[in-house]
Amino acid sequence: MSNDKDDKIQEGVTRRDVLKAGAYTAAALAVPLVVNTGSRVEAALSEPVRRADLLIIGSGFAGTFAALEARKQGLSVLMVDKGVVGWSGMSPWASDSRPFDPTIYDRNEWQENMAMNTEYVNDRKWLDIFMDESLDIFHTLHEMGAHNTRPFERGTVVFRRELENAGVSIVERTMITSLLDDENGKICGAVGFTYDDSAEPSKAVVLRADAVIQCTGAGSYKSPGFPIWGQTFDGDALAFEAGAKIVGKEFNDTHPTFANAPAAAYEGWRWAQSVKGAYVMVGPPGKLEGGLTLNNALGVFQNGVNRQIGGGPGGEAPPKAGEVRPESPEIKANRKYLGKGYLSQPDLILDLGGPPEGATEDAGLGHRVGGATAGMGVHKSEGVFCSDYSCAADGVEGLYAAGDALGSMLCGSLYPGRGFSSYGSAIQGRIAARHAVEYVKNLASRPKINKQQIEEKLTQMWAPRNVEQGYSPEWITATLQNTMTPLHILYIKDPRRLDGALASIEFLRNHCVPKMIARDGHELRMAHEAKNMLLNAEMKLRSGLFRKESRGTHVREDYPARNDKEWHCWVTIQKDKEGMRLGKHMLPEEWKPSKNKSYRENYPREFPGEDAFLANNPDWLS
Amino acid sequence: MPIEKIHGCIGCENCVKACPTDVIRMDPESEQAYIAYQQDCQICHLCRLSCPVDAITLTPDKAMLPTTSWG
Repeated sequence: MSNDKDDKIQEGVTRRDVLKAGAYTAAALAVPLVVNTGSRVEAALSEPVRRADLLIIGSGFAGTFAALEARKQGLSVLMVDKGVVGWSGMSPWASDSRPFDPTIYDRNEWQENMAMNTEYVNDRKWLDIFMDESLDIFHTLHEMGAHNTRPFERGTVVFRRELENAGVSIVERTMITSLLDDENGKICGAVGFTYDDSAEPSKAVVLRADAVIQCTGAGSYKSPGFPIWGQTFDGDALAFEAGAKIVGKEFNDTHPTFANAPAAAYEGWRWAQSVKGAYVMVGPPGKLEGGLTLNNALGVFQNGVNRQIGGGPGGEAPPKAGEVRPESPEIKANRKYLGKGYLSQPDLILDLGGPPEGATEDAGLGHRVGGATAGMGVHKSEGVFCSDYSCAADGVEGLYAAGDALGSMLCGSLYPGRGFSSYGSAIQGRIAARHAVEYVKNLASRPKINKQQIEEKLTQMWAPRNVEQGYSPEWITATLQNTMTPLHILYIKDPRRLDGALASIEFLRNHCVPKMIARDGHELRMAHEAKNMLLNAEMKLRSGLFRKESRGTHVREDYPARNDKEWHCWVTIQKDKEGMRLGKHMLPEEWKPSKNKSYRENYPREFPGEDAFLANNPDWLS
Repeated sequence: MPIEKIHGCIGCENCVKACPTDVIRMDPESEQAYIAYQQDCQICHLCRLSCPVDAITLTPDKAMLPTTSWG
């Protein structure tokens, strides 16, 4: 399709041409080219329009496995990344795995443990898919040589080489700001810009494809203390604006950091980043152990901050340096799997559970405090909603999502323990690609782009560069952090507080964002990230208000108990004329907790005030 | 101070590629990396880990923007 007329929109245009042409004759080139920054006027060029059968946004585990699968099936693939392919998406936990081996593990035990730990709103079919495919991911990574690397080297050494060898076309250091659709609403590309303007001005980037897979990861409010990289919910924002349903925003990640240097992300995860090899969690996910629960936040809520010991992600204090703890029942139970199935393979780093070795209590940086990941949801359980396991976005044609960008709800209302995230992303990347390939091959005709739409979206994209007086993205981000991060907004919820925070976030979105100013490419990226984080904040507050019960990492002071009759569901959000339309996606009856067990047997974790609430509201459980 | 200094850069650009938050840029004239947006450093250490000559110094401390009424 390289002869496509649209591909020539920007071909042959040099910066000198544009400068010569002057500011507003740029319209003749189909995309706006002029960025006015008050006293400075500079030309922002457009790269030539590029096209492929499939566009993949993001290049971590999900993006890499999606791209390799699509290439294997013969599609041309464009991969665009906000960072650099190979470096993106490789968190300190990129070595973590928990492959399911049917020769040593019990499927039902995994299902039952996962359901109890994540409080019965996890997607059991996605867990089945995980159990079907995770061992193959393990072997694939092994064949690629990924098991000889440290976490970040998986990308730089292995994934990058695989993608280049497969002939994937790469576009980097480019922030995507909008998806494109055709006259029938089918997604057919994306626009964005290059933010690195050190050597030459930022350029508009227009990418065309017959389908798009978002592998954009999750996000946080850039809170210091957690290596979330550059993730700012960009995929949610792209999909939401295009009409897709979003899910899972009321649940939270609960990683802690350190009181004396809360931004010292690396110090908390130094051990994980230095792991070289396949780090394998042994045994099934715990029924109650090992997860990123709210225990720590609830303890603080009830008793104040424990400045002596702090607490780990689930509330347990990590061991002090040199401390040897008695072996937990979980570790004892997992010993029986050693030497069996794939665990007999040499050179694996085996983790039997409990706080990881090398993770000390305070790294010399004070006690543990919460909120390191403020804004981040549960891995695999927030993002674009797909109701049929194809990874296709509900509500939009031609759009797919995988990994943390997909709200697959694999992990329900809390992350149940390490080992599901990277592998879940890889599995979903491949599945998204298979379905996207089928969709592209069955298209009766290629979707046609609308040049006017591109112009409008590029105008919106550059807008902060044209504002002469405005709010800085830094100030908006700081105000967002101050509004959303505290314990009593994000973690311990109350409708009055949620409404108060919502009013503040709405003011930022409605009043400040249109007046946001960006003085260079870096600030333009910051501006779009701030916009995406604010959208996420509104989603989190509205979902938190909507779910009138407590469950997992969602706790309401006014409804401190689970309600399976009304709220055994996922909360979805979709754009409408009023702003956001919230809905319930009810879950299969057979996913509900056992009727033969008591409420407390099904839900052993007790929320503050829960028993008194149940005693005062006898109809709640009927 | 998050990323503190780059000293002894050989211009390989690894740190620029590694930084997830666009803190480090290449100076087109000196062809060396420099700290362009220090405030946005998340102290993730990816730049230091990927530097072949150990030229990058980071510290665990970071000052946040003071809260002002507008900005």
